[in-house]
Amino acid sequence: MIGSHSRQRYEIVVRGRLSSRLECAFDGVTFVPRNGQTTLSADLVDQSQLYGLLNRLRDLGIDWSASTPSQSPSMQPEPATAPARPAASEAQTVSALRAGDERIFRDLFTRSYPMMKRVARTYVASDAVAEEVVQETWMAVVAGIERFEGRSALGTWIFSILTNQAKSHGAREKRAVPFSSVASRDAEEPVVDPDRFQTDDEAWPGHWATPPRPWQKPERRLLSLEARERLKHALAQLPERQRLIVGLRDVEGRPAEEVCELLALSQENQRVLLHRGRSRLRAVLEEYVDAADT
Amino acid sequence: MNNSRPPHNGDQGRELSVTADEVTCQQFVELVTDYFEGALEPRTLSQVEEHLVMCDWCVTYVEQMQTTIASLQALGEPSAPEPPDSLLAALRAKGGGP
Repeated sequence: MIGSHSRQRYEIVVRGRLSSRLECAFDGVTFVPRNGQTTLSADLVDQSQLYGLLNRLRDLGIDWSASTPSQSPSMQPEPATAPARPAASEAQTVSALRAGDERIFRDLFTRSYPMMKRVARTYVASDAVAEEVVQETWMAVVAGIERFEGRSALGTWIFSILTNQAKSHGAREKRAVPFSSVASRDAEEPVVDPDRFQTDDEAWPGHWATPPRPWQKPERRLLSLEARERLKHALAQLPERQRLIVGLRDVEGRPAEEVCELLALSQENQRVLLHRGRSRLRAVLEEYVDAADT
Repeated sequence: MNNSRPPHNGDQGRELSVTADEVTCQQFVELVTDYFEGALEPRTLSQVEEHLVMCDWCVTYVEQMQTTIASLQALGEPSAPEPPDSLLAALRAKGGGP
């Protein structure tokens, strides 16, 4: 039972040799070149970490051909995407945009869209306005790309245009800037109702009084379609920062380092938001499943 | 105990920071994300793992969290819309057009 919850060794095989400089960018991953391939080994806690790693490799244009966990079949990764053709380097992308290269633009536009919309949505009152903000951002990017000097990364520059656009829309809507308040306030309330646990004068203080019941799953990993609709709705209802972090980390599978860097959040603050968001969603699903069972 | 989080006071005024040798269920549900993220200090990690060996209910809680995360992954991303004509026009104006 415990094996499926502790770290597991994953091995990902990629074609060719990877630069050892790249190894420094992947915390906790070792590169072992052998016979024209490189095996990446990592001890990962769970599937979302694996997806984060695979997505990062894909974004770097690294073609991975197999990934294997060393243990439980329930952790078997299911590659959701075919290996991508190599992404353009940043300099190539900037040149391509300046030259009006539609293919490169569309690729960048499509890949960034979910994240940009998600970020914009934390500042404005509706999906429709968030979409408008993203479109305006791209207009500004296309118009301003000649002035981009490369002092920051292209993504950082685009992101700052996005947040400025979003904030000015938000200001018009008279909304407070979501990241201005201190994240530690989020850490105060328990994520499970204290009534669910035994009190000090009971037999096992701090242990479950009303324990969670296993969920029946029609599919191997997932709940019913209806439950997932409920989840989608609950995600949209989360406080905006929790919604953003859960969206970037779990829905999109972006790794923690990327999210922290993008949003200028400490790992700890990011984890607090992730924790609160996920816990609330679990609680919503539990309520739903329990109601459906009665 | 993981010292990167502030101690939490539950209804009974009980502090969350672990000084005893074991982690309780009530403490575990607050540690579960750090556990998944690999952010627990070694001592806390082994206490958590020991707890999971003994507590089927917390294992169920872990499974529920994993199911929640897997279901979020399965929500998938809304695919990007077609870039508006005005945007494409602005782009094409740069290179001399199609």
